[in-house]
Amino acid sequence: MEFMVPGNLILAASIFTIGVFGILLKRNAISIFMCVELMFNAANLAFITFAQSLGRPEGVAVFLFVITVAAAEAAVGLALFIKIFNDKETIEADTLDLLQR
Amino acid sequence: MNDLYPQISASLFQTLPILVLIVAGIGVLVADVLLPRASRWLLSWLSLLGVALAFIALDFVVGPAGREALPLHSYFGVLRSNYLVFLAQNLILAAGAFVILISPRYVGERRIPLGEYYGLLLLAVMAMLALAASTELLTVFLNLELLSITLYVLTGIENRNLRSGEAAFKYFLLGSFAAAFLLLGIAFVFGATGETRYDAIRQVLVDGTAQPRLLAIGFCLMLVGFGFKLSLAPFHMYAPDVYEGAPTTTASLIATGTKVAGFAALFHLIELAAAWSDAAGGLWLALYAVALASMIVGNVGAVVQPNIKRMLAYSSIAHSGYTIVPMVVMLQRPDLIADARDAVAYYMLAYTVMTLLAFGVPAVLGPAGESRIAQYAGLHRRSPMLACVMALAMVSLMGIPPTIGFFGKFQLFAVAVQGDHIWLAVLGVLASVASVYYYLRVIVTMYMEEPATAGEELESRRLDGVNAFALTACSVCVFLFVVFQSLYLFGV
Repeated sequence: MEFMVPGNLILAASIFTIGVFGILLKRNAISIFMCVELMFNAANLAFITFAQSLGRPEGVAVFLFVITVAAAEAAVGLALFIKIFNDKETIEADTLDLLQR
Repeated sequence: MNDLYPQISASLFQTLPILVLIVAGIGVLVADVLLPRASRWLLSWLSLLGVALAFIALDFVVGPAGREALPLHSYFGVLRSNYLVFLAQNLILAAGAFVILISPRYVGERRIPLGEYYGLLLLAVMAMLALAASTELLTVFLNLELLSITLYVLTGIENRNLRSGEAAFKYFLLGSFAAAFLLLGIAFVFGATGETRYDAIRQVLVDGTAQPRLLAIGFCLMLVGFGFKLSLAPFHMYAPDVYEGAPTTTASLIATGTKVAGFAALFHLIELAAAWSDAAGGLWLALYAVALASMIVGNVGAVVQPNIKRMLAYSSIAHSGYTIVPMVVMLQRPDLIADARDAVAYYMLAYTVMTLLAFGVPAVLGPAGESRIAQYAGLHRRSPMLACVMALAMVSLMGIPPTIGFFGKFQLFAVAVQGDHIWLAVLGVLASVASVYYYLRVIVTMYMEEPATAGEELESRRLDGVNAFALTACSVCVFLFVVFQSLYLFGV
């Protein structure tokens, strides 16, 4: 079975890589979380690309589930960020250093 | 359409324990709103009832029917039951019951909101049950995420404690980071095989029509996602912080239930990968490196930790490393899958029992006993039973006979030797010899050292009935299974 790497897959890989680097370089919690969302969406794009090229509809169903999961995660995450902000007046990841002492 | 009904009703029946827990979890959340404030203490008993009903459903309603026709498939092959899953689900329920039993006083002292705490605890246990049985890529992802999201909340649930919030923050960001890797891995495996169900993927792998490169990338990315959940070495960074910052009761659930579910799911994935002839190369090497790194990092890291919960976190990293040793072997020797399954199942049992004990003692001691190991000085005079239980947990974690920890480790390394992975077995044994140092340090502190100043003393605590019951039951298990096994081995 010959497999062509479609352009979409390269795009998905690039977005995923941007997300990974964003997480490694950014310090603000919201920015980090946005990068995570970027990675999720890159994976979604890969799913849909595969679903398209293989002619299988499951990939599209996966995409719907993943969006729901990402929304649930965002709800918990933002609540957590607000809690941290109320306590510390900042959500820079570097300022959280109570543990490990 | 009509022919679907029998299968759907059979599937509903087979997932009865999961359904019971969903109902119980939502029931607790509703009861929290309806009950007057003074009778909120009922919630812990209500959630214990939920776990007990799930246990009955699993062992006495589904169990007998399930045992006749293993392996069972439900929801069109999305969930599977075999004896590894059956054991894992029993262990998860036992861990859930243990955590609920030791919770009331801890939760009361910390002013943790009861309804959310118990409701999410039940939902987390339900997600663990489902994850242990999952044999479909999307189902694995959904259950892992459901598990993670509930645990993020349970970690940060302590409102007044900044450490709890910080732990949840780190857990959340790194956890969703790892979930994205898992999802991309799933996408690649789907792309390489065109299937999402394990049995269909296996067929494609056996036929050899999969895309080897995509498949290798996919499995490795999935390994990253699982490695995070199981706190395996290169992905363990969050574990010490989370275990330290989270409420100790939550930490004990993270250390046992999550890992048991994750091991069962990872075992199914590796079993699947073993059907692929190329898996003995790159994937084997990756898993080998992860196992070795976990054993080394866990045991070396634990030596320098002054904090009891951080020490236990590193110890659980090391134990995850031991547990995947048979899975490494399995990739090169598919003929040993049955032995590897036995070894992993037995070690899951051993690990759960002794880790629950080791976390139970700090949870019962409360604020005074969950930070520095030095606080345990002279514990044997003030709380002889707790000191004894903690010592028992440490001896079992070391792997000294006749405790269950020894027999668990013995089986793991026996599989490694049988499968020509002598070096892995030797390094594993050396790593667990090194672990004696830091486990023994706890025992020495408890029995031979005196508190340096009066302030260092732990207040003596009376065990209440439920705590004592939970700890005693677990302690008995440390020996009981060994007795059963000996009887079985000698044919009595």
